[in-house]
Amino acid sequence: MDLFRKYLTGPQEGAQPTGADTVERLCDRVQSSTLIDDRRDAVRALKSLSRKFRLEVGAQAMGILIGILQTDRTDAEIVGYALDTLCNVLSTEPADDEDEAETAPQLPEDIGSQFTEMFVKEQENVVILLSLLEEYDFHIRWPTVRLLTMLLANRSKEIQDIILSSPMGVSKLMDLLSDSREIIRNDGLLLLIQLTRGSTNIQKIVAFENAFERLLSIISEEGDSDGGIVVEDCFLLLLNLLKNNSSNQNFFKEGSYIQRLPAFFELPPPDKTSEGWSAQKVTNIHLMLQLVRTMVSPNNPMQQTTLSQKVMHNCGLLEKLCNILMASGVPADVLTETINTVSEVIRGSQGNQEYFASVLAPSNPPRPAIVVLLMSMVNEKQPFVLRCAVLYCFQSFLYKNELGQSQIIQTLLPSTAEVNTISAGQLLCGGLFSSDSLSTWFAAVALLHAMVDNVSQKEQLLRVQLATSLGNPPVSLLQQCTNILAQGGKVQTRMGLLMLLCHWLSHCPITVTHFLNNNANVPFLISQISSSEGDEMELVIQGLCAFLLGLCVLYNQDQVQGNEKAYLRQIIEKRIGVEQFTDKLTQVSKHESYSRAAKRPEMNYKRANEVFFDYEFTRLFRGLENEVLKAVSPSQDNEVEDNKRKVALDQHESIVKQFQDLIREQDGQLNSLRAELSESQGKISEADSKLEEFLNQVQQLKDQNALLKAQRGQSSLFFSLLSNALVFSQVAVAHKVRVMSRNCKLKRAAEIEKLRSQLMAGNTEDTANTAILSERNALSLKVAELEEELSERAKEKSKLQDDFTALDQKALDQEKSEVEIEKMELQTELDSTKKEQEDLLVLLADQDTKLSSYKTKLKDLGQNITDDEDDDLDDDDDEDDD
Amino acid sequence: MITIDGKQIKLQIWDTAGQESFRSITRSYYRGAAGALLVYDITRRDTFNHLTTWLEDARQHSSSNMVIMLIGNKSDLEARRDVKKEEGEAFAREHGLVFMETSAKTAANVEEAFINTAKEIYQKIQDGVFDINNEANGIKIGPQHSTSSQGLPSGGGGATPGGGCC
Repeated sequence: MDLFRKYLTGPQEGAQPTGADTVERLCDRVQSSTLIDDRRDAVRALKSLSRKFRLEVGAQAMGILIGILQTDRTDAEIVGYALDTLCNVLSTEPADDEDEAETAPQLPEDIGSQFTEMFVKEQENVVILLSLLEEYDFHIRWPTVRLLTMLLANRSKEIQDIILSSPMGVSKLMDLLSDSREIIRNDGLLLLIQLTRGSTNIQKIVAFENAFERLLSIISEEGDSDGGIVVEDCFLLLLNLLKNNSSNQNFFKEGSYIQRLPAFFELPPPDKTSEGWSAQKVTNIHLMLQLVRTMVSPNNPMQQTTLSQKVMHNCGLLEKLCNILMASGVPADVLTETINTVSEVIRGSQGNQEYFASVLAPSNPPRPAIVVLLMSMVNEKQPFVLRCAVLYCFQSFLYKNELGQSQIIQTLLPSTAEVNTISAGQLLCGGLFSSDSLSTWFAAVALLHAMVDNVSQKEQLLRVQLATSLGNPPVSLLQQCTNILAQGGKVQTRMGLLMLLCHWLSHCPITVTHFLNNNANVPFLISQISSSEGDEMELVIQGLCAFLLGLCVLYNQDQVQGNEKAYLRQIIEKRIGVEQFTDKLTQVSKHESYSRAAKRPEMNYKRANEVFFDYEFTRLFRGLENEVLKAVSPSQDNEVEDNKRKVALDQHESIVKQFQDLIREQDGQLNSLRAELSESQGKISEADSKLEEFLNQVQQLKDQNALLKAQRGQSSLFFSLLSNALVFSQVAVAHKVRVMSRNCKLKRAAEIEKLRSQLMAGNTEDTANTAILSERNALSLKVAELEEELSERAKEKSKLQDDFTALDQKALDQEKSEVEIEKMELQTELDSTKKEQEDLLVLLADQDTKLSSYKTKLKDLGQNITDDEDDDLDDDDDEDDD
Repeated sequence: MITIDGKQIKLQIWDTAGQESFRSITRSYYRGAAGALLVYDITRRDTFNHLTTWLEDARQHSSSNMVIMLIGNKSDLEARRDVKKEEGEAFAREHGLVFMETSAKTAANVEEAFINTAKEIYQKIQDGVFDINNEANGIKIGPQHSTSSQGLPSGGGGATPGGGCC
């Protein structure tokens, strides 16, 4: 106040010099005085004026003061004063005294920055400051540190470059952390925070200089999270070193520094919780959590994050975080940030996700942490950011976690749902159909994440039935979603449901079929898309409806009558117009909130009414937007595709036809073979009958023979033996022939049977279109084989027949000739006997005549002789005579 | 992680740029390094010629005890060799360095280069040249293991100007 008064009254008294004059005089003295004491006094005076007359001191004395730093380096006191003066001049902090502010109202606000620019123009000046750091004297070191900090704050890029290029520059600054004087160490920390801002190279060198080790030990010396602002500064520096610097992150991980983090998250003992958390502690914990998140951020390289996540689980960090999650008395913002941190620690890491699923809240009865978290998500009374964090956590839990997805869906399925306990599924369903639109949105997005990239869960979810109200039949979840959608309602509600439906239908034709089975759905979508009214958000809704309808086309397998792909395409073209459809669709990605959501998995919404899009949905939309457009437009592509399909179908038919022909051919072959068979059978039977005939002939001959034998019994003994033998041989031959022909028949029948079964197989295979070509080849091969076999068989058969007929002929010929010979023999015998007989008859006639002559002679002699006696006597005589 | 004499040693290796414009940055890494690998390219004589200045730099800014290893890289390109092995050996002898030729492409001698450096550092620790309790020389005792009562020193940082240096 004294000085102030002097200044005010000065001009009036006329004796007092103005500030500028004084400064000029002092500068003069500093420059001209040879005595160090004088110079020191002058610099001290300058220092005292430097706050009030910043402009004057800065403009006139800066060069002189820098000169002092070089020439009078041996005198710590004068260097200290000079540094202090420079600090005052370069400071950007507004004057803290009211009266000072009054005295210098005309100074431009960026005066400190301007002086800094002047100072930095000479690189050498900064180098001088760095060299001053080698002095241990407090009066030099401390102001040097402050001055450098100020310079960095004002002109960080230039100073960083100068420090980088001066040998050991960074190293000297790092040494400040080991200064035993706390104030220098703490200001050194502030300096390093400024120094490391935005310069990867400096960050790396600082890390190389063992910064992690030193900072972590300072933090624990200061009492971890209970420590003061120094702890906060340490964390700020750590964050600077690690953020977006994968090399340092790697070093942090490799250097086993993650393992030292759990100690920071030690919860206060339960009896102390009532005291509440100090503001500093809350800040410290926030920074600690940020540090953890930096190491496992989804923006880091995947491998890095995965490895860090593993370490965090193994060293118990995740467990500590989950403890905070479930503890009581944790401030809401800390809790929110902890949930976010846990999200990123478990995101995509299977082991960590499993651990998280097993965490139980200390409630009665104990419930899974997931369920407890979901309860707060669908609770309107919870703070918005907390609900967002829970959703993020839930998403992270399900990210790349098929097991987790199925576990969540399982709780919705009727078979496993337990009535008594609250399950995740129940909470989600409850949220989905709650009257709070934000709850609906949260639940829909959460449910959507339970089936991302997981078709089997989409199909499972179709089984979910809801009991709407007593007496009414249960409604499927899908149906209920579309019902609510059709009722209108708030934008958020519809957004959530539409995103859910889009995910559900994508890549899942079965869901599309279910969806189209409800006849109301397509007309509803059409009416939405074709409506031209509405604000910006309404346009987005229409765009989403277009997307949904497009998905119906894209994943349509023509299973629903009247809603086939072609039909839907036609209806879009006629009722909406492809152009308008495209227009509506592109509206979606143009919306600001879409691009905001697409940036990163964590939601960055500040207010509840800003919530529209989900990150996963934007991914889906981006991936399928073009495909949907292609599917919907009746462009050549589609026609070509249709044609292709038609061609494929034709090809398919022709293949079938080929097979049918083949079968027909084979049928014909079979028939002709059959005819041949029956023919040859006929021939065989003919031959049989011939044989029979021959046998009959033989029999006749035999009969004749027997007759002859009866006529000439003795001559036929040999003949009968012969004919017996003949009969035997004939029977044997007949038997043989019969057996052979039967065998042949059996074989053929088997062959035919085989062929027929193969044909049948061929027939059945016909229906299985896919294997047709290969099957056909195999089949035709087989057929050829069979044909070959058949012809062989036929050859064999004819040979056999030839053999048989030859044999037959031979046997018959032989028999015949034998019989003939016999016959001839018999004939000759007969002839000879006949001749003998004749001879005898002639002889008899001779004797008769002789007898009659003898009789007449006897009569003549007078002997009375009867004719009979005569005869008898004659006979006797004859006999005797012979 | 390598094992020397039954002790596990974790090497923290920092690769620094070899271009002239980054020389000042490289200087920052000399202090606090226990060893350095000075690498030249045997197919380019100019890189060999620059060794002297790099060595001076290293000697000036590091502790005098830093182990420096001279490495002739790209030994797989024998056909394009520009610097004889003998020259490298002579330079190393003259300046008291350990010399090796390596090929980063075929990995020939690469591991050996690091292991030999680590061995040298370990030897110096054993001889009491390095004070393992002073972190400034880049050596830190690892956590004590129940099986081994002795500390596990970890050589911090071999500054390695890359193959294409100078």
